[in-house]
Amino acid sequence: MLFLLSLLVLSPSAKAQDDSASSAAPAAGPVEEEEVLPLTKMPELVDLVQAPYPEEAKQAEIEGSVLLLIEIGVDGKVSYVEVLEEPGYGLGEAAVQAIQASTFSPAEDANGPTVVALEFNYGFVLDAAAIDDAVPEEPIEPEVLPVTFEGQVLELATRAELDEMTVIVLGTDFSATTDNEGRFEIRGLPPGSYQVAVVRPGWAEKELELTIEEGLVSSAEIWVRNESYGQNTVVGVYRKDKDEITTRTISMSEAKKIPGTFGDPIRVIQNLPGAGRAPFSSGLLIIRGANPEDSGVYIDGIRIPYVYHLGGFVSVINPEMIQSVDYLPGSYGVQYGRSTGGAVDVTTKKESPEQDRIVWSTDLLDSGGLYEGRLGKDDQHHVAVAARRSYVDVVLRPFQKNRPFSANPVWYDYQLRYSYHGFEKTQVSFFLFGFDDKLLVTTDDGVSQSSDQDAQGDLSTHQFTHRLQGKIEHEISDTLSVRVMPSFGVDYQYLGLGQSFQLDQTLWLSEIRAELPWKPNDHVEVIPGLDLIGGWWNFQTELPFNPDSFVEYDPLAEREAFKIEDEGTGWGPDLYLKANLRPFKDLDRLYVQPGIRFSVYSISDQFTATAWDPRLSFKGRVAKNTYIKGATGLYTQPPQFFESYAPGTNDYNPDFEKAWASSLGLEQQIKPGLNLETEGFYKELSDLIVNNRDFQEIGDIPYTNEGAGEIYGFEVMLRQDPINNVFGWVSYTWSQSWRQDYEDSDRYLYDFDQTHIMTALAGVKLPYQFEVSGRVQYVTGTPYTPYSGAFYDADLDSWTPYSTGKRNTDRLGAYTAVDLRAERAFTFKHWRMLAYVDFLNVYRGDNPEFRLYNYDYTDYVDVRGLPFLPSPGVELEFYL
Amino acid sequence: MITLTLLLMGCEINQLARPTLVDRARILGVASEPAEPAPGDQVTLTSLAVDPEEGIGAVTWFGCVLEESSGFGCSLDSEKLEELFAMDLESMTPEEQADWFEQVQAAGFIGVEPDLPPSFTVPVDLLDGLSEEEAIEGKNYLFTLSALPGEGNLDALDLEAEGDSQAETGLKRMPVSLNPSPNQNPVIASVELDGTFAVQDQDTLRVQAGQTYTFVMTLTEESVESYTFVNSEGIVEDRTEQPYVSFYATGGNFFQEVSLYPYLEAQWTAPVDPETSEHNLWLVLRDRRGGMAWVSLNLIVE
Repeated sequence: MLFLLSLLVLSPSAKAQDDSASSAAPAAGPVEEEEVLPLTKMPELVDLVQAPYPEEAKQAEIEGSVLLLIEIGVDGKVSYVEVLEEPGYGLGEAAVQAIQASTFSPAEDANGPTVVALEFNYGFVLDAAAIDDAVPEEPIEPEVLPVTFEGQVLELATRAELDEMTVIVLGTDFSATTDNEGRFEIRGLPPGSYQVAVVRPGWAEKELELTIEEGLVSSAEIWVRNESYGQNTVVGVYRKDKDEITTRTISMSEAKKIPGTFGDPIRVIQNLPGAGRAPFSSGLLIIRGANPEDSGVYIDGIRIPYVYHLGGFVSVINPEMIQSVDYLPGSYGVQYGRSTGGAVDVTTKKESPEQDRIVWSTDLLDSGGLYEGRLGKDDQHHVAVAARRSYVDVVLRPFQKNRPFSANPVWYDYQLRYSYHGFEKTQVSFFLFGFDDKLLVTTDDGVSQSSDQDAQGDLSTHQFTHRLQGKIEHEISDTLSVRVMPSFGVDYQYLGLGQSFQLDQTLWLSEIRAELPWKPNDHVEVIPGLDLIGGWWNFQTELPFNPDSFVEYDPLAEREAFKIEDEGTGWGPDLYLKANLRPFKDLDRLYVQPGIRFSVYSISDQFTATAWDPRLSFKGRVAKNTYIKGATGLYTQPPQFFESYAPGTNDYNPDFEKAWASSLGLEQQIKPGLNLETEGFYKELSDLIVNNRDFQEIGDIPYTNEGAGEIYGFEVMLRQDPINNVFGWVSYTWSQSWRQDYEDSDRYLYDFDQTHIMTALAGVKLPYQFEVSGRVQYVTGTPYTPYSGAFYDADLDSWTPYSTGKRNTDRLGAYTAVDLRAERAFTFKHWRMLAYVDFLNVYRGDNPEFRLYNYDYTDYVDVRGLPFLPSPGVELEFYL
Repeated sequence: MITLTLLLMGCEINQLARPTLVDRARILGVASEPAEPAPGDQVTLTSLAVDPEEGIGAVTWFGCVLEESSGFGCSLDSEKLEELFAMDLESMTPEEQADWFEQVQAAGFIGVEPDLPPSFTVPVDLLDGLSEEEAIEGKNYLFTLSALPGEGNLDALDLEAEGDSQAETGLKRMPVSLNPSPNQNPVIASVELDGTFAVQDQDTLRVQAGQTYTFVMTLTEESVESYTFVNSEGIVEDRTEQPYVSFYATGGNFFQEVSLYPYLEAQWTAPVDPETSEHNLWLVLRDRRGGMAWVSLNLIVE
């Protein structure tokens, strides 16, 4: 007898949609009206063709299941089949032929039928009839027989009730599939002793002994362990239903496995095409050759000033609070503004898991905990709270003995989330978070740090951010909805050296995002939006010298302490309008997104600047599994805060920096789960803010919009989605980033230019809950300007280098490194533990991070990056 | 990461030569007397130029008003100077030599140590056109000097002040003003070794290999000058100089490179296994307003 075990694990794309569909929370971040399109209808088996039992298997009495990877098209036909696992004896071939002849009803999302890939288990079980003529018997009518064996299948640790699990009484025809509560029952099983197996691909097979006694019902609670990737996470780097044509969405399960990222999903973007290597693990976001400050980082659509704690090792938000990380290297829609570089949008979870849980993680750098769960019994109140603090200062202490300085970095962060799920058409959530970073470098008073009295003393930095965000979504009608996302918070930065050098800046910010999506049909969606930011700023600066003296530097001039304190307000009420157009009946055939954004940037008593950003992007299917995509548009960015302030003059009117960005690319699904993407891009930069060469003293205009530049390149990525216990990708980026500060000056390779960036990484699950992963990186070295010589200044007793050549004509050596990671999970009934070690720089090249010269610039050494560094950690997860 | 950077820099920087080690031709100090002349004053210039291998044969001096200099020193008429220096002085008459000297001075030449000690008269019209307040603040005169090791062959002179592998070139500013209380060069009262006895300039000391010694410099009371400064808002501030001392030696190791007043001291460890028993050590004091003074010591490592 043949029987279909089950339709098992959805493919990456379908899985993502399924997860979203199961969520009562909004499926998207505040700036993505359709970040994840939930499947409104799962594919259903309409006609399963029974495979003839292969003679070879029949004679050898071979039973088993064939794990297939199949793709179901919008017409419900099976368009692709691949055998992932099979017992041999012709069973695989028979299953392929049978499934190719079978038909399904297509999966559907909000736009109608859609393509999905899924794993499908086709089972073969021998019985007399099968051996005789390969024709299945009529199934036993179970309802007429008494229940003899019943039970429930639960997941180890999470205690989740598992559906779609197949319970087989081995050596018999008896089997059952668990329902939504994980329950099953088998009727009519005669008395005796049996072996029972619980199977489902992606789960560790569970076997147990069973004894059936006459007149009694045996019951069992069966615990099984999940072994698949991507459980309860967004899966898939490329999602065809994204609004953005180039969005790389990262599987959280992959993200935490990649060596060198310290389990931080936000650091994973540095392994994707277009993302440069952060020098010295600094965490700087270098996206397509742009200045790091030109790229925006958002948490649920609200921009934050920085994304990594001191040292760039970990991001400022607990990874367990993150639902997904969207990486947009360029050509993104008008909902993102005020930046000419890329964008990273972190979407936090809005829903707690069914089982309350506590997660505790500890590694070399910090420790932190998280609790998330549901309040009350009606499942309407979901909460999560997390906090983390570093102790790297303690770890570093032994290494700082007998040194003239002692560095003490400390950071912490916290998050509190609440979401209400009691309204039918309204979603409400609040998110309070903050992060704080301090660094104190202390020195002995009697030890001179330099010949400059004003450079004497302790170095201290402090920066923090606190935000309270809200999100309200309401469905007004079937075609109209509204999203409002207010936020309020403070950013603070301090830098101090000794007693005479202090920079102190406070920024109180209010932001409101609001969108009113109107979708009259599947082909048209229009989204007007407001992106308003306003705030009050205050800063104090104390310097041991007057900045005017820097224009004509005179070391013998008497220094005059300089102090300035000011406050003011600023705001930017940006408006945008975009449309999502799918003109064909086959919605996937062409997607066009025109949009325009109007930006305002106003600093009280200083200036007001405005900009219009028109943008257009498209994505179309040109052949089966082949898409082309392109975009062009203007991206503008207001001056940075320090570029916005010009004391002593009312004639300062800086304009927005501008980048006209265009891209053209191709996406090809080689087979389900294996994708190739290429994209070329060109960005013309203009009105870049540079120092005013005529600046003489305070009161003069400090900056001008004279700078220009261009960035061009291409990206390639070949990616294996996490299927069959393996994931990985190879990405390569070639690019050039040029700048020209003034019309009459030479253009030069930009400081953050990295011509070649190659990353290859892979991870594989091994038996016994072991998992290993590795990463290889190659990145072109950082450009620098070589010195031609140096002259001795007897007044200062120091050498001043000079260069007679052009800027950035040389490069430091390339960066090459191999990182490995090994982990072992331990799963118990109510909790699990993950122990891991990141082995950083198992192999490393010279990896010069910067060049350190001797006192007279006649010699130098290249300061290398991190040495081999094993970084162990442990994560405990308790389900309450 | 700042922490790791500092740690890694600390490792790497040990591979580089420190400025306290004098292992080639170096200019360590430059002084004018007076430190802050007025227009028309006669100025005498001296340098502390050293080379542990060959010694310094000559130090050439050129000068110009700072405003007329480039970022790399005085902008000299190199063709004119080359033409003048190519002339055979010995074949000239005394009148021709005097005329030649006037021409090279006009081209910026000031002198050559030790044969033609550099001194010059500050142009009387240097501060013309300045207001009274500006004249009290004054303006800087700039000297470009090149130390030529060995024989001190003038042919090796680099008129562009860039120097070559042999010559060491440096810059020195000298404020010229009508300040009623002009800056004075500091005066070193004494240098004590390990707090036990004072040493004098050019003294010869015997030290033990590998032994650590503490040098403490003390200044005369008037060396740390008090003066007034009128800030940009017209407020008169009473100020006191903040001098510092730099340490140099041909061997051994200083714990720190400079020391700020009032901690004018440094620990120096004598070479453990010196190639030569004879070493030199210098302590150069700067008052941050252009004034300088120094002490040279001869060391015999035993």
